[in-house]
Amino acid sequence: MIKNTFEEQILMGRLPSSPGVARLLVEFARRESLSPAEIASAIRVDPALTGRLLKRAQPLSPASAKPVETVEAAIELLGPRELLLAVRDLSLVTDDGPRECPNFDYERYWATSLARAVAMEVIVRSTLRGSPEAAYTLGLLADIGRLALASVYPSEYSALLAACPEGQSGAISRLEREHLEIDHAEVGACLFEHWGLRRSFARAVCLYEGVHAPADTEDAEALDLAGVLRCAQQLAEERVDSDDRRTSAGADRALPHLRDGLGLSEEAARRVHAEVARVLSERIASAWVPIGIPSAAREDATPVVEPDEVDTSPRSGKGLRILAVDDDPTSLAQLRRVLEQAGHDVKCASDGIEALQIALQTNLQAVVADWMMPQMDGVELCKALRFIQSGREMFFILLTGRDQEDQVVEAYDSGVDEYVTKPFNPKILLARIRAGQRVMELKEEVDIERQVTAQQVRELGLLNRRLRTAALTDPLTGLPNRRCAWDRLSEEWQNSTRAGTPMAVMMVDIDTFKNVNDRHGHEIGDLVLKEVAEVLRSRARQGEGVARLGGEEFVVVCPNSTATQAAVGAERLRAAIEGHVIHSPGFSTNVTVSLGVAERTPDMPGIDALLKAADAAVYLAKSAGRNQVKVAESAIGRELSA
Amino acid sequence: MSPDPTNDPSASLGAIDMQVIQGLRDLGGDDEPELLAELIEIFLEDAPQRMKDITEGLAGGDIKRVERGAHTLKSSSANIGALGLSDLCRRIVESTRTNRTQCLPELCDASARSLAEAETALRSLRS
Repeated sequence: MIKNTFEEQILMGRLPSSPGVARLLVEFARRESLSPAEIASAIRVDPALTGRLLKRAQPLSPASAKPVETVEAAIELLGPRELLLAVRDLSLVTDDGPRECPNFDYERYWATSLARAVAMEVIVRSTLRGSPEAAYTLGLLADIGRLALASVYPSEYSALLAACPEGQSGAISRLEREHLEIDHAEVGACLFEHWGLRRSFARAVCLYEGVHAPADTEDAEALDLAGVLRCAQQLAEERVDSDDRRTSAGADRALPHLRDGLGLSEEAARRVHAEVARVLSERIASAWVPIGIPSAAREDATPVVEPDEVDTSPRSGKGLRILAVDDDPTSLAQLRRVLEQAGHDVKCASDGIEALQIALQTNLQAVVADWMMPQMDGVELCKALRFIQSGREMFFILLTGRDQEDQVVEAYDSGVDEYVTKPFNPKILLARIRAGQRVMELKEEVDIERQVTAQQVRELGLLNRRLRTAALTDPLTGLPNRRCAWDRLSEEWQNSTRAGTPMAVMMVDIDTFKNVNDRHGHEIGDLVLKEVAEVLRSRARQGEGVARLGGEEFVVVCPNSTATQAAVGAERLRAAIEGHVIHSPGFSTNVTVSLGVAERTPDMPGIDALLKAADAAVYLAKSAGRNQVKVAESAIGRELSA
Repeated sequence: MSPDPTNDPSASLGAIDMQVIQGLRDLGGDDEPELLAELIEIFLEDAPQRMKDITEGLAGGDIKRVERGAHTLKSSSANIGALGLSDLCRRIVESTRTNRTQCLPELCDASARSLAEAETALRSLRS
C-alpha cells in the first residue's frame, strides 16, 4: 500500500542522469539512424536510463522467456525504429537532471554505481555464477533507491544525509524509515518490480546492506547475489575512494570480503580484484564513455554547475537568461554587450557543442545563435535543444547572413522562433527579444504553477502517509499497533485461504516484565520495550510483519510459513533478544522472551482462533521455564499426520 | 589641419566607416567606455587567423576552409566598420559557393590588402 504510493511519486518525480550521458543522448536523438552498440554503451553506464529502457522492452519479451535484464537485450528486442523513438523519449526525460538534493553526492553516486556494476560482472564471470551481463545490471541499479529518495524528497533527504552519522552502516536506513516511512532498499526493490526485473534481484537489493533480514531462506539465488553485491560494493567504494584522493591508500580493503564472503582462495580473490580494476580502467579509458569515476578525466570535463548557482527563480526586473552563440569573437563580444545593456543575464558560447553543454547545465530562457558555425551550426543547435525538455521552451533567435534569407524556411521548420540578419541592428534584435519575452513570461508562470502543484502533491503524499502511519503506529516502539496488526492478519488470512498457502503467527511475550517495571521503574520498562521491539523489527525476516499488541506482548505475522519454518525464525529471535544487552545509566542487563508459534489450520474459523492457539503455545513456553519457543499442538498434529 | 577624424562621425578613416565606430562607442556608453578598444583588440587578434584560413585554404586547394574563413571575416569586419573588407569577403563566399574559383586569387589578394589597411586604421583609433 505504502509502496504503491511511493511508486507513483517516483514516476512523477524524475530520476536524474549524469550530464555526460544526457548530452550524448540528445546528440543521438538528432540522428536519423543509430548504432545500437553506441547507444548501448552510453545507456549502460547510467542507472536511471537503464531502468527505463528495460521497462520499455519488457512487454516485447516473449511470455515464456525470462525478463529483459540487460541493455543489449532490450535494444535488440526494440529494433531500430522503436529504439530511435525510445532514445528520443529518454532524451526528453533526461535533460539536465534536476540536482535538487544539496547533500547528495551525485557524482559519487554515478561513479560508484558504474564501478559496482563492473565489479558484479567480473565476479559473476570469474566465479561462474550465471549471466555476467544481468549481474552488471543488478550492480548498476542496486542503489537506485537512494537516488530516488534524493529526487522525490530533495530537501528532506538532504537534511537526513546531514544528520546521518558517518561510517555507521544502516544509520541512514533508520533515518529514512523514521522520517520518510520507507528506506532506500525498499524503494529500490519496488523500482526493480516496476522495471520488470526478476524477483531475486529485488530481494538481493533488499538484503545486501544487511538492513533487512531474509524472509525466505529458500531463495538461495537472492542470498547468494546479496553476498556478491556486498563484495562488489566494497570493491566499488575502494575504487572511488582511491580515485577521489588520487592515492592508492585504502586499496585492497575489499580483498577480505572476496576471500571470506565468497569463499575464494587468496590467489583467486587477488585475481578478481585485479580484473575489476583492469576492466574498469578500460571502460573509462574507452574515451567517449562520458561518465566520470571522479579522476583525471573529470578535470577536462565541463565544470558541473552547483545547484545553488543555477538560478531557477524568475528574474526580478525585465532581464532574461540568454545564451549568445557565435564562433566569431567580435560578433560575440558585441552581442553580449547589446544584451547585457538591455538588462539581460548573458552567457556566451563560441560553438554549438559548447552551447548545448551550457544549455544542459543552466536554466536558460532564450538563445541567440549564429547560423554558420563549424561542427554544429545554429539550426542544428536549435533542433538538438528542441529534443530536451527545457530546450523546447527556450525562445530561439537565429542570426543569419543577408545571403541566407531565402533559406529561413528551413530554419523555422527546425523550431527557430525568429531570425535577425547580420550584421544585426541592436534595436531590431532587442525588439524581437522583447516580443519573445512576453511569451517566456507566460510560460514561466505556468511552469511555476506546475512545480508548486507537484511539490504540493509530494508533500500531501508524505503527510497522508505520516497520518496513516500515526494512526497505525504504537508511539512508544514505533512498531505497527494492534489495529494495524489486525489489518495485516486479515489480509494474510485471506491470501492464505484463497491461495491455499500456509501461514503462521508468533506471539512474543517478555519474561518477568512486571519485575523489571517494579524493580527499575517505568522508564527502564519503556526502554526494554523499545529495545526488544527494535531487535524484533531488525531481525524478523523480510515479508514478516512485527507489531506490538499491548503491554509486553508482540506478534509476528509470517506469510507463506509453516509452523516448523516459523519456529526456526522464532528461535532466532529468541536467541537475538537473549544476546542483546540493554544499557542505561545504572542498568545493564538482558531480558528473555517466550514465544508461541501457531499455523493456520483448515478447521480454524478465523484469526481469533489462530491467535488463541499461539497464545496457548506461549503459555506452554512459560510453564516449561520461559526463554523458549513452543509450537501450538494442533499445528504439530497436522504436520505429523500430513 | 584636418579635424580629428576619430571625433567626426561623418568622416571615414580610409578603410573604416566611422559611423559604425560611433555606434560601437555609443554601445559602450559611459559604463563600459573600453568596449570599443576591446572589440578592436579582439578583431586584431582574430582577423589574421581568418585571413590565414583564406590564403592557406586557397594555396592548399581547401575551398571549404576558404569559405569558412571568409564567412566569419565578413561579419566580424562589418561589425567593426571595415565595410570594404566585408564586401570582399562576401564576394569570396559567393565565389566559393558558386564554384567560380578562378577569381579567388585576385579577391584574396585584395582582401589581404584591405585587412592590412583596416588594421592600421584600427590601431590608430585604439591609441
